[in-house]
Amino acid sequence: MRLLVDGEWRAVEVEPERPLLWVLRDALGLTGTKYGCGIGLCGACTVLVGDEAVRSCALPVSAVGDRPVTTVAGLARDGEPSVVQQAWIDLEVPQCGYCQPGQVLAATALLRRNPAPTDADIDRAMTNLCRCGTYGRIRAAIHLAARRIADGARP
Amino acid sequence: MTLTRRALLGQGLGLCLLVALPAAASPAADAREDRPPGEPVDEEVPFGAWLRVAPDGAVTVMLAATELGQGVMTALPMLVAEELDIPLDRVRVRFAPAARAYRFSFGEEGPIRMQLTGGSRSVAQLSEPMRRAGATARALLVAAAARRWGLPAGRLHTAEGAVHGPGGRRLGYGELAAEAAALPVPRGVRLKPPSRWKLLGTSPPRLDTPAKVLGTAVFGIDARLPDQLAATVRAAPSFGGRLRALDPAPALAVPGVEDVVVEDTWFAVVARDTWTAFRAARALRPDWEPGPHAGLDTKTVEDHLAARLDADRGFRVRGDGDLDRALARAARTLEAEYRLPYLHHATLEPMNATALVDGDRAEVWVPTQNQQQSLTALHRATGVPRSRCRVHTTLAGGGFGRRAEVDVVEQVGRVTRRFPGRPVALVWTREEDFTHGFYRPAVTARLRGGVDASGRPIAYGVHLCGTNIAERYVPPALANRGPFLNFVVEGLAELPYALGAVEVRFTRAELPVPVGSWRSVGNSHNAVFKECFIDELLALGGRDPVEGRLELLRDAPDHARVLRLAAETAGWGGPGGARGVAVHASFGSVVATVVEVSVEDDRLRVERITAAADCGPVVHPDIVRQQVEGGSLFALSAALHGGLEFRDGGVAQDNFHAYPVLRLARAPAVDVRLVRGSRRSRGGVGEIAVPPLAPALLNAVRAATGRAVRSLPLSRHFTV
Repeated sequence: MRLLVDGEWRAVEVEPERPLLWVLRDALGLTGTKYGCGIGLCGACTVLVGDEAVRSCALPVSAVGDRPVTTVAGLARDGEPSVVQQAWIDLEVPQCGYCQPGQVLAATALLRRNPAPTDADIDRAMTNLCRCGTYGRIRAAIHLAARRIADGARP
Repeated sequence: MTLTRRALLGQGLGLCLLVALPAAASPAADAREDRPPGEPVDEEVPFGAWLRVAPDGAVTVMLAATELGQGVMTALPMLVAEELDIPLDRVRVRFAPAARAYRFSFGEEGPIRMQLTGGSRSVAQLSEPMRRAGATARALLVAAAARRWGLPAGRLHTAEGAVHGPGGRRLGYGELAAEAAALPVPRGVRLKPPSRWKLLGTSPPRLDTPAKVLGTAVFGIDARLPDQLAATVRAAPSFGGRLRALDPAPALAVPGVEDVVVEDTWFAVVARDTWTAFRAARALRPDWEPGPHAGLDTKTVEDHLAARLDADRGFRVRGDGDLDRALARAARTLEAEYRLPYLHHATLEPMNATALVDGDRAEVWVPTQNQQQSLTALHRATGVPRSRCRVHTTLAGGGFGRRAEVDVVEQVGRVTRRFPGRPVALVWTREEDFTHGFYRPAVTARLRGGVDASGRPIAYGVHLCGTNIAERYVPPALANRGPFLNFVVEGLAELPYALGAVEVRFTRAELPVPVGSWRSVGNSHNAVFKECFIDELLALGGRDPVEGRLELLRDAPDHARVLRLAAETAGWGGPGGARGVAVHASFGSVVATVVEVSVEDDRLRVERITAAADCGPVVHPDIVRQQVEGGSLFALSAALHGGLEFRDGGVAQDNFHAYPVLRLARAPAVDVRLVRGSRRSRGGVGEIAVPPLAPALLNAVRAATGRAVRSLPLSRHFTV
C-alpha cells in the first residue's frame, strides 16, 4: 500500500484495517501523532487528510486512499514553523505538550476553511482534549494566527 | 507538603546507586552507550552533579525533577543561568539519572530527600542548590581566568558566558572549563542579591515549547529502540481480583504476536507493534476470579462513608475551644453533609514504559514522577542488581500525581526479563488506564457551625471520612493517628479563620479502591469543606463572602491580600453574573479564586474565573500564570464532570465518553493576578490553583440559585 504522508509517497505493508495512527507511529516512525483514547474522543491523534482534521486512531488506513496525509511533522515549510505553530510558540501554549500536535492540526484545518474564525467557530471546531487546561491560550493563538493570515501568511 | 508526608514517603524506599546519564532525546543512542555510571558525555566537563560545561561553552543542567508541563525544564536552568551569567539559550537540559545526588528535600522541616516530582516543591526546594551550583561554577571559572592572566579575581567579571578582564580580555567558559573544574571548590560562595537579578523574575521563552509544537518532543510512548517489541496488559477488572485461567491461543493466532505473559493478577500480550498487541489482547477471554470485593458498586461506597460517620466519632485532629459549648451558645446553627467522589488523573498520555534487560543490566525509559522508586521497581521485577539498573526519564504527557506510581515499571520489568536483549515498549490502552488508577479518595464530611447574635461565625466543626492515602506507605494504625493524618486533613487542620471553636475529626474508610496523590492531594477535598461551609455560615449570619472572610482573616494577612486582589479584579459586588469566592493556602502559597456563573433552568455555565496568587518570589511569572490558568481548568473539569462509578467491584468508566473532561467550548477565560511585593518565601506553584476552584464554583452556584449544592460533580445536578 502507498500513502502520501507529509509530501512524500511511502510504501507500507500493513493490514487494511489498521488505523492510520498506528501506521504513522509504528510503520513510518512519525511519533508526533499521539495515541490518547483509541476511539476518536480525545483528538491527540489528529492529522489532516486533505484539508480535513481527522482522528487517525479511528480511521482504517485503507480509507485514506490517495488523499494527502499531513502530520505535525509536515507543517513546517523550509524549516520554518507554520503560522499556526508560530502562534503557538509566541503565546507559549503548551504545558505538558502531549495534545498539542493534535490541537495545532485541528486549528490548521479550521483556519484553512475559515481564516477568520469567531469564538463560536473556535468552540465548534476545537474539540480536542487538553488535561493541562491550555484552552485559553489555544483560543488566543488561533486568533493571533488568523490576524497573521489576514496580513498575508499562509495557514 | 509537611513533615508528615516527608516522613512517610521515606519509608520502604531503599538505596539507589548512581546510574548512567540518559540522553533525553535519543533512547536509541543512549542504549548503545555503555558508559560507566555518572560518566559525562562527549567532552563535557562536570562541575559537581548539577552542571557540565562543553568546550563550545554550552552549559548542561541536570534536572532532578520531571517536566510534566509545570515548567521545571525552564525554571531550573534559569536559576543556574542567573548565577553563571550565561544566556538561557546557551543552556541545555538533561533529565538526571536515578541517583542519590539528585534526591531533594521536602522542605525545611525534615531530613527526607527523594527524587520524586511532587508536592509542588521542585523549584522551591531546588532553587538553592541550582543557584549554588551556578555560583560555584562561576567562581571556579573566574579563578581559572585569573590564573591564566595573572590577575586578581576581583578585577574580573562575568557576562554572556565568558570571563572578562581589563583591556578587553575575554575567555569563554568552554575555554576555561577543564582548568576550572580541576581547581579546589571554593567555600561560602555568595549568591547574587535579588537586586542584581537579570533573568529571575522575567519570562523568557520556555525551553520545551518549540519541540512540543513542532512534534519532535519525545514522550515515554515515543521511546524507540532498535528491534523493540510492543506489549499491552490487562489486569483484573475488580479490586483484589486474580487471573484464574487464560487460553492464550486466540492471541497467539494473530500474526505478529510473540507471546502471552501470564502473571498472578494480570497478563501481557507481546507483539511486533502496539496495535497488534492491542488487537490480540482483545481476542482473549480471560477467566478472572473476582476476589473479595465483587459486590462493590457506587452506592456501596457512599453508604459505607455515611455508615462510618454514623458509627464513629472520629480521631480528633484539631480542637480549639469547646465546639459543643460554642454551638449551644450560638444564635443560629447549621449542619451540612458534603460528599465528594473518587477522581481519576486521566493523563492524556496513557501509562507506559519501555525496558531492556540485557545480560546483567536493566534499563527503563519512562515518563515517571518517581525516579527513585522506578529504580527499585525495575530491580525487583527483573532481579538485576540495583547497581546495574538505570532509569531514563522522558517527557511526560501529564502527571498530576499518577506518575508517582511505578506499577507500569514493575509490569514492563516482569515482561521484558523474558526477552533478553530485546527492548519491550509497554503501552496501556486508555481503558486499562481508566480502570487501573490510583484515585483521589472519595470523602464525605459532616459539618456543624454557628454564628453569634451579630452574625459572626463562632463555631466550626468538621468530621470527615475517607481513605487516607498514607495507608499506601505505612500500616493503618500508624497512618491514621498522629502526623500521617496530614495527607487526609491538610488544609483543614490549618484553618486560617479566627473562629473561636474549631474541631476537625477524621474517621477511616475501609474501602478497597486503590488511592494515590491527585494534584493538591488532601487540599483537593478539604478546600471544599472549609470554603463552602464558611460561605454557608457567613450567609447564615448575613455577611458578604468577601467582607465576612476578611473579618475572620485578621491573623492571616497573606490570605486577606490575595482575597482582596481577586475580589477587586473580578469586580466583586459589581454587575455581572452570580459570583462565588474561595481562598486557600497550599504548598507554601495562597490562592484566592472568584468564579462567575449563570444558571438558567437546569443549565449551568461558568462564565469567568479570576485567580490571585501569592507564591513568594517568582522565577518565571508566565509559567506561574500557566499553572494557575491550567490548574483552575483542571479543577473545573473535575468539579463539573469528575466522579468515578463502580460496578462489580471495579471501575465502571473506561474511556472519555463515560468520564468526560472539560473541552475548550466550556472553558472560561481565567484572569490571573500575581501579588506584587510578596512577603512570603518561595512557595509551590503546580498544584495551588486546584483547591479553591471547586468551592468558589459551588459558592457561585449557591449565589445564583439560593440552593447549597453539597456534592460533586455538578453534572449530577445541572446540565453542564
